[in-house]
Amino acid sequence: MDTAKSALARAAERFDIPGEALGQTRITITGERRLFIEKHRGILEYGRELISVNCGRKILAVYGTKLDLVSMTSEELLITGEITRIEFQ
Amino acid sequence: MQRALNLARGVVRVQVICRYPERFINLCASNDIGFWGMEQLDTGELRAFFTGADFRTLRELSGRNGFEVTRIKKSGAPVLMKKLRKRYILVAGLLFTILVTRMTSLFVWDIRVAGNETVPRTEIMENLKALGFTYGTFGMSVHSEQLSEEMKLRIPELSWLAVNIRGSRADVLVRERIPKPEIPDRKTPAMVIAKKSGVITKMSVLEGAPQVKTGATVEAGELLVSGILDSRARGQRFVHAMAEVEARTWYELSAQMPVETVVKRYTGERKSKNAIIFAGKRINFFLNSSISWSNYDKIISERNAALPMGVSLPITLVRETYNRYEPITTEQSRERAELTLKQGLELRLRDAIGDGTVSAVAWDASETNGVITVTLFAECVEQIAVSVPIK
Repeated sequence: MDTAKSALARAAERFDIPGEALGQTRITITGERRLFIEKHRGILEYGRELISVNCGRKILAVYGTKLDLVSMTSEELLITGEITRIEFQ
Repeated sequence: MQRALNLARGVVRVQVICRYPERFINLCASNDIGFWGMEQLDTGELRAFFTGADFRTLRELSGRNGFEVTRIKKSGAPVLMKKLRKRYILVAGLLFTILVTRMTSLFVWDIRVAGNETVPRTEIMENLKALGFTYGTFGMSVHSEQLSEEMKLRIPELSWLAVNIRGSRADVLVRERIPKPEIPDRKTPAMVIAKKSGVITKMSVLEGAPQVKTGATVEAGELLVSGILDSRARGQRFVHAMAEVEARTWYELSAQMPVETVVKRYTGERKSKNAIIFAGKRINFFLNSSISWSNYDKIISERNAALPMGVSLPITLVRETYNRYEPITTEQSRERAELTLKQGLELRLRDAIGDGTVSAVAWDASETNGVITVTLFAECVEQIAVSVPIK
């Protein structure tokens, strides 16, 4: 299943099809204090220094200090704070 | 927008005690419970805003899902409505105020006239009043086009008029008619006479038979160019005589001024009287309108009352200030008096000669019985020709 999704993502990339159309997570970073994620799959870890977000095939780990999950709906979430590092795991 | 909607629906600040915050957050997401302003306390507790309906769902979910919720603060429209439920008078007053404000904004309380240069504002206002448009007129009953047509008939100097009503304010925009240029009449038989006495220095006759020559001395009213042409071939015929005749003219102008003059010395005493004009009716806030002083300056200031949002109110605040003074007789310096008189005489001379030039000036000043007399002697060069119809 994962392989099929990966192949689909590669095909989309080759044909210039936006990833959002295939339901992929969209991440927007504004400066170093705001991170907006669309089409997430939930929170896996929540703390002031680390917030892990389930993005489907990967987990997005947001490191920083004084991190806050300012708002969240079933599709979108907004993280603020001093973001120092973002990592896909 | 979303914030306003949430406030209308009611907002609850909630404290959440849970072992695993991420589980609580995911539970919210899976149950479509939105939140905002989330912060994590150092003790591990979470605080966030929820809508009233979502808070009720959260309360139902708490306990069996391993978290507890506590309401810290409620705000928004439902809370306000609950507070006001027993305050009937306050609610009635609020509604009455809103109703009165809304009703008064339907009437015209402020009329502003713009675009008029020669037609005075009072004339426009009086005619508008005669047509039924004045302070207190119901705004929706005003027909701008009809008003414009009738105003143009009443004031022929106006070429265009529009009335724009915004709330209780009416902007009356006008455009004035450009006057027709005066076309000189060159068909009526006319002769050219001298409007002033003088010695002719230059003469150019455009039409007609000249009766004088350069160097001639003429009196005011004397015929310069005749409008009757007589020839053997065509007989006697009448023309519109035209000519430019330049002449040297002489003026002797005098002006007088007493040495002693009366000036105002303010005593510092001041009285103020207030009044309001409500929808054209004046209401005084004083009983005695008379002033016991014999000499005073009266200054009237008027200010239209308006709400901070720019909504005009049908109230004009009037303040009358009276400043008392005493007339003091002082003696002014002769030089100063002469200078004032000379300036006045120069202006009179300039008015008299029009486009002409002054070639020589002499002054004479004297003082008799406390009166300073200044006389101006001037020699000028100016146009003296004027066309008059032949009767």
